[in-house]
Amino acid sequence: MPTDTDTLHQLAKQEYKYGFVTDIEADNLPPGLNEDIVRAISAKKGEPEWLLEYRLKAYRHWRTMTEPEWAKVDYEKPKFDEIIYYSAPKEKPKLESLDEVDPELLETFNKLGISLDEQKRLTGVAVDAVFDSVSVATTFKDKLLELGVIFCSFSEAVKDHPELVKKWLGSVVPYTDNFYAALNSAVFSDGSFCYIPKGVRCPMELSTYFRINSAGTGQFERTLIVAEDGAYVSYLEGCTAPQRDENQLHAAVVEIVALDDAQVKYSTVQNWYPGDKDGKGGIYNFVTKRGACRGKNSKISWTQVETGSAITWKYPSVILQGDNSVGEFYSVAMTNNRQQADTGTKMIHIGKNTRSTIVSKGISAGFSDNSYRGLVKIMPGAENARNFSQCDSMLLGDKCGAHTFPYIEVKNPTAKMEHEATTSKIGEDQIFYLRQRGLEMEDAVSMIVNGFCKEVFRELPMEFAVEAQKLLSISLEGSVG
Amino acid sequence: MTTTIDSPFHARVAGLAEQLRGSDDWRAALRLRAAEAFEKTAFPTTKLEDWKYTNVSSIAKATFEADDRAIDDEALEPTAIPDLDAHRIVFVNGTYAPELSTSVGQAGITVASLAGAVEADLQSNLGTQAPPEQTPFVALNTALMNDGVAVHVAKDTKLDKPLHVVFVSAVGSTGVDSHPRALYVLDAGANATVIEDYVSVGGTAPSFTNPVSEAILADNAFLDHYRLLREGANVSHVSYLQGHLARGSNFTTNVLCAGGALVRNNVEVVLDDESCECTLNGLTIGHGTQHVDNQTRIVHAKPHCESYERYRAILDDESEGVFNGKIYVAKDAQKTDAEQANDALLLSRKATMNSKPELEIYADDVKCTHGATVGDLDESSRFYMRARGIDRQEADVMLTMAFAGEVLEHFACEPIRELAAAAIRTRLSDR
Repeated sequence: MPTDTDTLHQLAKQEYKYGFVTDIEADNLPPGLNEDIVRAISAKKGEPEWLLEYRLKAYRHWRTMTEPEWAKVDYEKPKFDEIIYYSAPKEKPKLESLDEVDPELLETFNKLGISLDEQKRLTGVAVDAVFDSVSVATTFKDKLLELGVIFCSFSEAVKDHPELVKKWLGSVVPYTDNFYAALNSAVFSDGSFCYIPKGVRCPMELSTYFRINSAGTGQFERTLIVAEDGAYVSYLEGCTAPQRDENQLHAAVVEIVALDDAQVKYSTVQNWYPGDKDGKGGIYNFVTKRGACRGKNSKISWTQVETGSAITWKYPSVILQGDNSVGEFYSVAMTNNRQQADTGTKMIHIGKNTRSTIVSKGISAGFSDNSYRGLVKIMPGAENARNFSQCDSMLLGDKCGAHTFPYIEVKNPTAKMEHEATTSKIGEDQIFYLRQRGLEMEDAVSMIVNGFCKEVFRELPMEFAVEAQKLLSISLEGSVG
Repeated sequence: MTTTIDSPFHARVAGLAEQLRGSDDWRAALRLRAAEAFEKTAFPTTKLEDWKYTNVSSIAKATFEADDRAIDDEALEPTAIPDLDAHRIVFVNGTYAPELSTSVGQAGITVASLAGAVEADLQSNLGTQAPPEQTPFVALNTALMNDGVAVHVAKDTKLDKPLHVVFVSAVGSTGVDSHPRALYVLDAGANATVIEDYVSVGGTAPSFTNPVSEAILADNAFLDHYRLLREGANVSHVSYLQGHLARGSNFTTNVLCAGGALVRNNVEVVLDDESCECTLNGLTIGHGTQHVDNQTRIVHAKPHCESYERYRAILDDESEGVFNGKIYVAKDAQKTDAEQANDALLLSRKATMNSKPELEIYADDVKCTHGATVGDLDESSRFYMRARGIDRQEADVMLTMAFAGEVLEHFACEPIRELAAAAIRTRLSDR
């Protein structure tokens, strides 16, 4: 009879469920990066002069920068000369309904369980699917337009709403911000744009699914969300990528602006290919995500479930500029096999009575390394600022690592700042209790870990919470022994 | 990216290396090694992660001179610790002052200056825990080391009274630097209390103290160590303490930071066998433009060890506190129990606290926690007291004392607890 450990190891070795490559002719530029490539990307997308200028400035700045090395991750540096910076599925002109979309493409989405038409009919979620850099279908656009909500691909936004893009692009993450943000600013291919006008509460959850498809393609998404005074939006981002052996670079930038009384809720489930059990392949996920609570009483909330990618380097942040603004960060990061994650958040308190909450749950298994790295900075003017941080780590196995690197900088005595962290293994008595009541080992572990993450999961919208729990179960199986 | 600063120390160390080259004395060889290490690394800038919050360019760029002035008992009197009954050994600007020291006549105990210590003992221990390659400051200390204290406690011997090691910076019209060294070797079952006390007398020229201490504890040894920083506002202080614990040993280090300009204390303790226990207590009382940085690293290398760490800071005026504590749990160091807490009280609008409590854990069956808080005095507690007729000043003193008490109650040596309490009272009465 196989022991529990064996069963779990079996499950742990389970191949990546979403590993398949869709065979679609892709329209690629030659690999490598120089000013010509930047110009070519811009030209291919028919961009206005100012955007090309922006890209070139970013490119020139990027060339002066060096890759950051402070994160606790160890990987082979991407060879920037060998990356294809632009890849678009061969265009099918005039897509007016889903029926005209490449059936093979739709099939891909079906395999992922995010079929567009099904989503459209059944769930009422508007999906702007980004398939290897170019948006192929957008739904519910008309319905949103009635309210004045703009939700479209980034390229469309550049064409149709250049004044908005020009106003907000780079206003939260300037191209000088960091190495990967600069790279993204130079070569970003496409992404999503979302604008909620004054006083509008977006009636549905907006959602984008990213996939990285063509081999050797870097994915440089750009997302910009602007919520005007009193607006509200909940935005979902989900990621799965097909199995590829060479490491693929993903360097996205997400910018969020919340003006007076606006609220933005951003939820992510990230399940990119983590590499095989020996650490071969997998996605490099170097993402800059930042929100600015520009207005009074505004609120930005990040919720993330990170189970994929070989290397994760991601710190969704909130700049609490407006008085009484609120920032939240809820995170579950799970690493297994040879995965490495260095993730966390930054909360910069500038305005008065600003509040932030950080809840981070890290689970490491196999040979992985999982780090929380976070900054809470309270500036001299942040009267009565309040922060609560909680970082819990759970270790499943004795070959993995769980690390916590919180940075706390307080320059105002009226601020109240609390940070606590714990690290422990999964409770043996809890496992015993569940096993004794007839639960299988993996079910018991899954149940305990889901309980450990509950505080974060309950922040997720319903559609995501279910998927997140399933992902977690798949990722953590085989980790107790 | 510039990660080093040019400094007058470079020429001094290079000159020294020239002199030391070719000597076959082991000390000269160690110092030469250190000089070469320093030439390679030089001073760190804030671009380096470990020095993110502390800028040492004021030390690196200043010119100090070695000063061999002597002082008498009377000059030292104001720095005495009331009610402390202890053996005393005094160093003035890094040089042993026998006339100010008492002798320890107890069997099994050797307390000597480096010059007077047992050569073989020294050779086999000095620089083994804090090798010069470790950091630029240790390299500088080792290269320029002229004297220090060497303590050896023999098997199953208990030092009858605490040993009070006084390092005096006697400052004249020019700035002085000293690079004292301390070496504590405790054989199996040995027991001692050592108080490293840093004070300054004389002028106000900017000066620099750069001590390095090494503590080596054999099986079941017990060491209660204190570091008292009471230097003037003109003295910068960068210290290293490296502890190595063998099976069943118990090491406590208590740091009281009540003086100095730029202060940086680095503590690293390696729990290198099972059943060790290590406690790090720290209390900072900052005022003026002081910058007090406490860096600690506890390495749990083996299973079944415990460590407790509590650092508290009371920061007034424009003072700045830094805490960077790391608990490192190595692979297989199962059943580790590590607790770390860092709390700061900001008494002024311009005070700053930067805290970085870190955990780096590679074993699964462990219990590690850390917590950090920053804030000012609790308004409702203050109101409670004032409602009962206690004036605001007194209420603040009581609340601050209670805050400090959480750390001070773990200081085993009572006269030092009193000393710290007095320092807080003086601080608050100045407000």
